[in-house]
Amino acid sequence: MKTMKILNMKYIGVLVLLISFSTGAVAQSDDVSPQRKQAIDSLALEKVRDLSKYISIIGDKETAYSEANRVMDRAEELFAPDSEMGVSSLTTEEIEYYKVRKYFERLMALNYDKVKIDWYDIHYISDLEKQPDGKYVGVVTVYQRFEGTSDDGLNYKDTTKKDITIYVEKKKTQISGRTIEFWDVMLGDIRVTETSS
Amino acid sequence: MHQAYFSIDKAIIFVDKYNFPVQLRYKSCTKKLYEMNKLKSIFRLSALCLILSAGLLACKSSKKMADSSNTDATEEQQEKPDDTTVDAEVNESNKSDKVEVDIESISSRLDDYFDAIANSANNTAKANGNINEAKAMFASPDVPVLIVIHQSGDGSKDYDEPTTILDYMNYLKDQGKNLNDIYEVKTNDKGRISELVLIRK
Repeated sequence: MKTMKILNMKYIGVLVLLISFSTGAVAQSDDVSPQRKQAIDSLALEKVRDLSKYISIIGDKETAYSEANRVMDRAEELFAPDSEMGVSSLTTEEIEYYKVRKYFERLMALNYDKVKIDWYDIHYISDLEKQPDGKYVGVVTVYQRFEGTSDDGLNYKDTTKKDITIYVEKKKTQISGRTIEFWDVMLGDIRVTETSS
Repeated sequence: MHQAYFSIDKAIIFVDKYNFPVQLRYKSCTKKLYEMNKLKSIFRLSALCLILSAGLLACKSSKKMADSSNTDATEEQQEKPDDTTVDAEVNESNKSDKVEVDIESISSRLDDYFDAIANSANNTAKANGNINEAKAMFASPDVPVLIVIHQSGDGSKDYDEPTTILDYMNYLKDQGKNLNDIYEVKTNDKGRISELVLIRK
């Protein structure tokens, strides 16, 4: 009786060991080393910096219409579908949210003679973390300084703090007949958290 | 005195003087021995199956990362051959179809163009001029550009989203920064660049 129990335990132990090895083999293929994770973090942050430059170009009244449209297309590609941009003002407490394309078009059409938009202090407030579906999600915060001036004396300046949700996912594509896996960075909604002068 | 006999699984079975197994005393033991042997066989079979599946899974996960000629592509970028423009690098005295190229020289020229485009970001006309000059080095404006963001010790690479050379050069112009070095240049028979791989500095 005792011998049988010991033998049963032994076999159960071997089974458990084998199951854990086989699941380990699967899990290892999804592991991201710290260096790779750092590269992915940097890539995502770079996309936010790219967006800040695009916004600056779109808002700049010196930018030619054709160039502004081309840049709007490139900026829109950075976003996940249906993402929205928050817009605030010192004159009202309400925060409006627009689809990103609409935001860019409104930005280009602002009634100032000179528009200057700068993003600074761009950093993660929530690191990219792997979700159950395999995607990485994180949040980056930015400070935006907006200055709009007109020849007739109309001036507006404000500083807003915005949070950007970032999604990173591994995808595949075909290049010259071979499969290439790449990290696809998508920006989500950009929400206003603070507005000040 | 009971005599002893060995069963198939070598359990000892006692018999009485009439050669009947002493079932009353050892019945439960024999039955349990039989069940244990059955259980042993099941465990052995299960263990074998698990070893095989672990091996298959390990093979699958290592094969997953390897390049394959998968025909079910989610996206496809194809190089459009440039047959309409004159190749300035063809030696007129050499009538052969294949042009010898100096990859190092091409890489160096291209790097200079990329720096020039990034540095002339405030001057759109100058940047566009550099873009048009650099474009002549490529088989087409849609030549794929891969950007390596990380290379592991085992040689495996992580890539940014692939782009085209025209989009990449416009990106340099828009952003005013060149964050990448040239890693690999592939050329076609006419000596034009057909694929470009960059790597983060």
